[in-house]
Amino acid sequence: MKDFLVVAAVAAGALGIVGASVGAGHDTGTLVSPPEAVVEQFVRKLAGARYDVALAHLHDRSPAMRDRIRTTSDALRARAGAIGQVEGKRGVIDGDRATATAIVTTERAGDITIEFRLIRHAGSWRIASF
Amino acid sequence: MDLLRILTRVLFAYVMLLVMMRAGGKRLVRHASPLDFALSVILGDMIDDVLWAEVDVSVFVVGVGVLLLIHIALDLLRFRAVSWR
Repeated sequence: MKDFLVVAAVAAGALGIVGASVGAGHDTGTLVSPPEAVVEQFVRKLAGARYDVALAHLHDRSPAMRDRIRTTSDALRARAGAIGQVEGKRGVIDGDRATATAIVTTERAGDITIEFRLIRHAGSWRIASF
Repeated sequence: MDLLRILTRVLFAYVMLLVMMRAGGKRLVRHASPLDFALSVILGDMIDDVLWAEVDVSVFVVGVGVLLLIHIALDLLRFRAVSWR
């Protein structure tokens, strides 16, 4: 029983450190995923047609948005072919808002650049528009 | 990606894993059960995501914490079941 409590206390302590770093320390990319990593993950999930998982990176998680990312992703694949490499590039971070870019290497259309705007919600970066 | 950020995440994740695994009961490899081995593999996969910033560190902490708590709770139940026999 002691082990159980110690592990729970260590986890709570670690969460406290993360909370202090993000809340008081205004950490935007060390203990939280930075904007470029968020957009990279988002596009990779779209490339794998994992729309429900990709939705977790969005600020607006409504069914309408899910349909929108699905149609956008399908249209991109139809036009450019299979998506190969994805690379996220950092833009500007201004308080709780940021921009980032994803460079997508496609089968037929070569490199495509997608611009993203992100906002910080509860410490984590979420995609507001693209 | 900044090297300093990677270094910070590596240190944080490693120290947290080390402290939690020690707190959860240090075992010799020859005493480990198949479930201990499965847990080690899962934790090894989870740390990869946090090192490359694919998930927030808080997600990693919650994931590792819950897994270890379930593991310890199962060990406690198994110990009690054996002592009742």
